[in-house]
Amino acid sequence: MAEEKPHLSKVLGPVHIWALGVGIVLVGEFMGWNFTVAKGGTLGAIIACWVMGLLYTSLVMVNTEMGSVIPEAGGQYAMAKYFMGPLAAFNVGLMLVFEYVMLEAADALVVGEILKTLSPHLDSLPFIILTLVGLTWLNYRGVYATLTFNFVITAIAYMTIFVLLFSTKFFIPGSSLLKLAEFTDGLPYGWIGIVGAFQFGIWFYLGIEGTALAAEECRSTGRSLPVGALTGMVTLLIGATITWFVCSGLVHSKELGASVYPLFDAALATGMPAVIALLFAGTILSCMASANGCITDASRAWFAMARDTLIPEYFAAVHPKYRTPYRAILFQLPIALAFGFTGLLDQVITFSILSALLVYLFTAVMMFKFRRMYPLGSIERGYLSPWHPWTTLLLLVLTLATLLGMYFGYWLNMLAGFLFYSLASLWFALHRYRFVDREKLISEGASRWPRPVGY
Amino acid sequence: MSLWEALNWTAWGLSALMLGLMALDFVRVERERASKKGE
Repeated sequence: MAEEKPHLSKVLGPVHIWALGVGIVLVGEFMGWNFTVAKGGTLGAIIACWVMGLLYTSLVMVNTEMGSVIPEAGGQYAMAKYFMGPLAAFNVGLMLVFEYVMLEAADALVVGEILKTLSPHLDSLPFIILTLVGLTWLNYRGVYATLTFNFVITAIAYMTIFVLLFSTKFFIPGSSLLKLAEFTDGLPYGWIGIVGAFQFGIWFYLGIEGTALAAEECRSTGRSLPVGALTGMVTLLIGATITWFVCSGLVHSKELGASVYPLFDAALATGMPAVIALLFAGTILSCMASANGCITDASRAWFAMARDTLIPEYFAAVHPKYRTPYRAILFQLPIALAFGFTGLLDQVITFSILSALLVYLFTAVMMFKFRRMYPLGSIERGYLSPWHPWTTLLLLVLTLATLLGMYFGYWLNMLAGFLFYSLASLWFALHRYRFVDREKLISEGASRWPRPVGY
Repeated sequence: MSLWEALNWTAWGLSALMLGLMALDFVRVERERASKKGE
């Protein structure tokens, strides 16, 4: 008989899932998205924002349908092990870990850099380390406190965007601070500029799919995951549109396309000290929320892979008191610190985005397989993704278009990324696979569901 | 020492404190695990 697997505590509700998804993403509203303006112009930026909104809405729906029937840690990794096999699962798990650990490192780097702007006497290094260690400590102590904290800081950061919007008096035509007619530049590079803008348009939503990684810790996965993920997506669509609107009206497109902190620069343009201070705090809080959620997600992916024996089982231990995957959480701290100290922020972020896009490709393929293996009515679903296969096809096509846009600017990074995952696959197939306990890998799903169609 | 330098040291101190607390707890849990396995 197989040994019983370690399990995490079931304490999360929809609010925590919302906090996990929106928390990881919101930093993309405060920085990064604005490079869409440099690539595609102001109009290209909002088109990219909404087209990418379609990609992520499809992704969230597809993810939530599959996630709601798999109450296991690891999200897309857990889906891959059931619908695609061990090698694909290993790759998806590894991609998730790199996506989140690298994003976590980048977030901490930005916190240090922002704080340094307060005074030349302030060092960024102790604050980068404090961010990573502090959030790791929080994650180590329990997922409920971690995501409750994330909810509070994410909500505050999100509200600062609304404060900025209303401070411009956009609703009073004569006194509005917004100068959309003067500051915007339309579509300077035509339609190809929009494709180029896609890779930065994903910043508005990148990471919302991470909600599925905490499926095992939900009190009711079938309810918490759909409610948390879908309300999170709506929150982000509203936040992204307001961010574009307020930044485009306060900062000239030439400056906006090159800005490091676009929302903060927009706050500076209002000339109101209270708004500037709030957006400064909002930028830091959004980075912290993102890093916090990334630690939660990366550790769950690593833990789930270890529990299924795809990597050494040592990392599958659960803390006896806090019920957290404490070894997986601690293991990733030095890795995040190491990425942080490379100082190559753009390279770190590009690898994170590439990993995320590859996971989306796998997700689309898995959804087709899932619906074929378990047609509607064969198992109980907590959520049903509407308009399948069109939403899944849209996800596939838009992900490929984004990869194409990325290829124009970062083909060497993409090549390096593909090489890395190919080598990792070789290592897994030639060395690690013989240690994989195939019964343990799919035992939970096999005991829950009927035999799939065609097997 | 200026306020900024004090903040730098506070950040270092807090990092060391939390790292220490985690390390102590980790060692305690691992010892308990090892002793349970031994039994």
